[in-house]
Amino acid sequence: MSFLCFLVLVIIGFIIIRQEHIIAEENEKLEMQKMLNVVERNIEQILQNSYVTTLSLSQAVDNNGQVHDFESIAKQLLNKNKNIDVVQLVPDGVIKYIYPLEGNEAALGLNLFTTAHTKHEAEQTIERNDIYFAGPLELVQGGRAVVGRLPIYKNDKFWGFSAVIVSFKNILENSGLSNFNINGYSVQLSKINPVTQKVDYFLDGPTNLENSIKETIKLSQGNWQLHLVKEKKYTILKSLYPTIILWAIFCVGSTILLYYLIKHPSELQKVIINQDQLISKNEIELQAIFDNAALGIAVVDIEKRIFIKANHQLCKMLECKLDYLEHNKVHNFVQDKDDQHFENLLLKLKKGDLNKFSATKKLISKNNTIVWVNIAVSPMWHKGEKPTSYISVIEDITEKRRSSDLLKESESRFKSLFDDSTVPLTEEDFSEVKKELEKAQITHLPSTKIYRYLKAHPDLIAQCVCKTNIIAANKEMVGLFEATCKLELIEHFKKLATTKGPHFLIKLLVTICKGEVSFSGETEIETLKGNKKEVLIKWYVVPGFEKSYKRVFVSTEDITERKNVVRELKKSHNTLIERNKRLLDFSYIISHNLRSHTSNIQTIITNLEYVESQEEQNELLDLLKNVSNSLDETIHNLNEITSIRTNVNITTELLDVHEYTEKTISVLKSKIQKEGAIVINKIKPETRILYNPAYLESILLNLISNALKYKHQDRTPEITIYTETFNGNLRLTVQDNGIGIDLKKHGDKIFGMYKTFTKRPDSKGIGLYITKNQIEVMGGHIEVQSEVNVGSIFKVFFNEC
Amino acid sequence: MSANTICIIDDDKIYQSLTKKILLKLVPDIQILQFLDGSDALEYFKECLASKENLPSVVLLDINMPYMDGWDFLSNLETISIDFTKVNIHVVSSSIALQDMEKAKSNAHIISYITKPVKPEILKNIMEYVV
Repeated sequence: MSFLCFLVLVIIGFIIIRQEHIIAEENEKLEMQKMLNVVERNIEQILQNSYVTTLSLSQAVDNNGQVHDFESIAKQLLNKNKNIDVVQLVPDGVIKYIYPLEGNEAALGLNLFTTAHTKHEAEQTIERNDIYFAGPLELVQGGRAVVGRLPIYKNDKFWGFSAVIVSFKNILENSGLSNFNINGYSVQLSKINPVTQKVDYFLDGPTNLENSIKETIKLSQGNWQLHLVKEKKYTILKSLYPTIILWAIFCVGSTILLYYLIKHPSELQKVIINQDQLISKNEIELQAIFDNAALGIAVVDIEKRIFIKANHQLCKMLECKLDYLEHNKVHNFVQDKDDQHFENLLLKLKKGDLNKFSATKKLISKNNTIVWVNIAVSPMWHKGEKPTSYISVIEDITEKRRSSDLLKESESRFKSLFDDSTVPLTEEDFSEVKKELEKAQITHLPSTKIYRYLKAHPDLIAQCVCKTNIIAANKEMVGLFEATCKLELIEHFKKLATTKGPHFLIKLLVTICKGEVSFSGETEIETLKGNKKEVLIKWYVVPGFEKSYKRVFVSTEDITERKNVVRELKKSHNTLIERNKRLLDFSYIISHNLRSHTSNIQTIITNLEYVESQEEQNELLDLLKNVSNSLDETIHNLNEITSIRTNVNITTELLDVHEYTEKTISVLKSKIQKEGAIVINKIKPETRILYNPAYLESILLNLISNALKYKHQDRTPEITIYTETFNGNLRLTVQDNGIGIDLKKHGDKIFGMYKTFTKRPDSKGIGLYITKNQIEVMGGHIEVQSEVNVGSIFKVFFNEC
Repeated sequence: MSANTICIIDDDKIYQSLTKKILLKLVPDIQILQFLDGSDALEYFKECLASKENLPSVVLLDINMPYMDGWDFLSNLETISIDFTKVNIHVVSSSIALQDMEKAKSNAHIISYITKPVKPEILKNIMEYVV
């Protein structure tokens, strides 16, 4: 389209330029014509003058053919006619009179009819019987000139010629031809040579005039043709250049303009179509969104406060059908009927103070269910327009609200639980500890290796403990550490943390290294007042902080009491087990020892029934007597042991062990002297012990007498008695150099009842049994070290409790 | 030594004499060896083995003896590798404790566990079995 327009414009332009060109050419031609006409007139004038001159000169010839006053007439004529250079009279074709003669002498006497180049013209002049201008020709006397000759007839008889010579130069100057060159034109004068019939050109201008812009006029008097030639062929075209250029610019410009003018609307059209499609697509999408949005959307008339439009989700929220909702009053679904906050916001929106707002509202569905919602309201009118309706985007937050309520509740419950818990609790931050451990590059190692590493690097443990931060602590925790307030506890937290046992700390760090989230262990802590407590620490990472260890709950339970109780329990349990075992032993011993006697009695009685002689009967009765004696002894022993066992409240006194030892030695004096033994009491005087006096006496007596009894035959018996403090308790040692006991053989039975280590008749296997029982009843125990043929060492540990 | 040699190991002297009395009544030509302690009996057994004499065919073994008790005696006997098929060992104890009975039962070398008082019929059975 625009191209077509361009073409048309170009054609129009072309035509216009063409027309202009033609007009310009015409103008040019007219101008040239005008100029030529002037020249022509000038030339004509010159020729006319020449004619007049020749005619006047012919007056010098009288009717007889005689020339009078040539000189004066010629002079006069020349004076009048400045154009004419020379006048001649040529009677019979021979130049006889020349004025001025000076300079033209060469022409004098020339016969025109005989001279080749003049002959033809001369003859033609006669023929025409009028003035004829020949030339321009080269004069005999020199120079170029036009010669005008007028035939003179006297008495109807050719006399000769009256001739004027006008120099060519003169003609050019006086006709104004010489001026033309200046204006971009050149002039040419041409004449068909009467002799050769060829065109002769007389001027310096162009000779090839065929294709040039020219104007030609014919000069009848000389058969001359005067040509005016435009020197620069294209000047006209040049003068048209601005027009062409302007037109070209105009063409291109208007084409472009047109192109854009045409293009713009079409593009707009396209855009509009696209937009239309987009809008319709958007509209569909919007409708889909509106209908299927997970949020409730409603358009509400701001004045009437009725639903203009609503989507399914809103219907679902409000438990009603769409047609019920539409055109229904908003008020019918609002629980809080005078929600001033919302109304104020709406008013501001109406005024334009707000361009949107959101609020939480309590709605009520058709079935009277409370629905908590977040409403975002935006206006559906433009600024400055009259408020019409607004759009509400309604989010059901009932569930959210419920869960947030629950969360709040659980949080506050947790807080109160934390604060009021009877278990001391802290919340601690171990993130820096973790970083510290990662820096040590041990986290990838197996647990046992980490344990060993940490054990060897107590500085790292200390560093880690320093990096532990306390976030919160509860009242119980403050109490546990005997701090006056939480602040004091938090302030001294790090110091307190270091009092935990290294074993516990290492285990805890290993737990962190291994990325585990819970840990529990027992350890000892020191309170701010320096009291030691045993605690059970349970440590678990708050869910969500498993990576960072930023929040860790730590319960520190004081188990000192419990531990003591357990210890007590364990102790009494052990005592009970011990007692039970002893009881079992005892019952075994009783049953065995007593039964052996009763079985003997039974056997004797059975035998007595079948006795055959008096002798035999006596024998059996003797045996029976023996049995009754041993039975008596057994019962006596058992009674002694039972009295130790059953004696629950044994009286104790502060006794001097040294003194008691001395006493025992003096009791055994006769025996010691008999054996030649050396008994050394190394016990320091005034070594005191809270003990039962009878038991202490019995223990000392038993041990020292045993040492004497089992002396080695080859050497002097040496018995050393001394005491030491062991674990804060007194320990009594009785050392001898006797026969010793093979502990491998008898180790387990050494303190058993009726166990002996020799086949000596006075070994009854009851002494050590009683000693052991006495020591144990007082809360101690007895140990033995012995080597056969070297000696024995009995160690009594008093008052272990 | 004849096959019907019986060995009584018990620290109870009254039991020893009573049992001897009954045994002699049951089997008048019986050889009776008496030991008051396990260690004494063990010495005798060792001597027998050394002189390649016949071992007693029946052993009445008490458990509770002050120096070397019945169990020690048995374990020692095992170490000197005697032919237990030729020696019938009967435990005779006044103990009626179950643990003793169980222990005796689990020992393959013990033929029976007899609680005191030993009835003549039982002794008769033992002797008849051997003879």
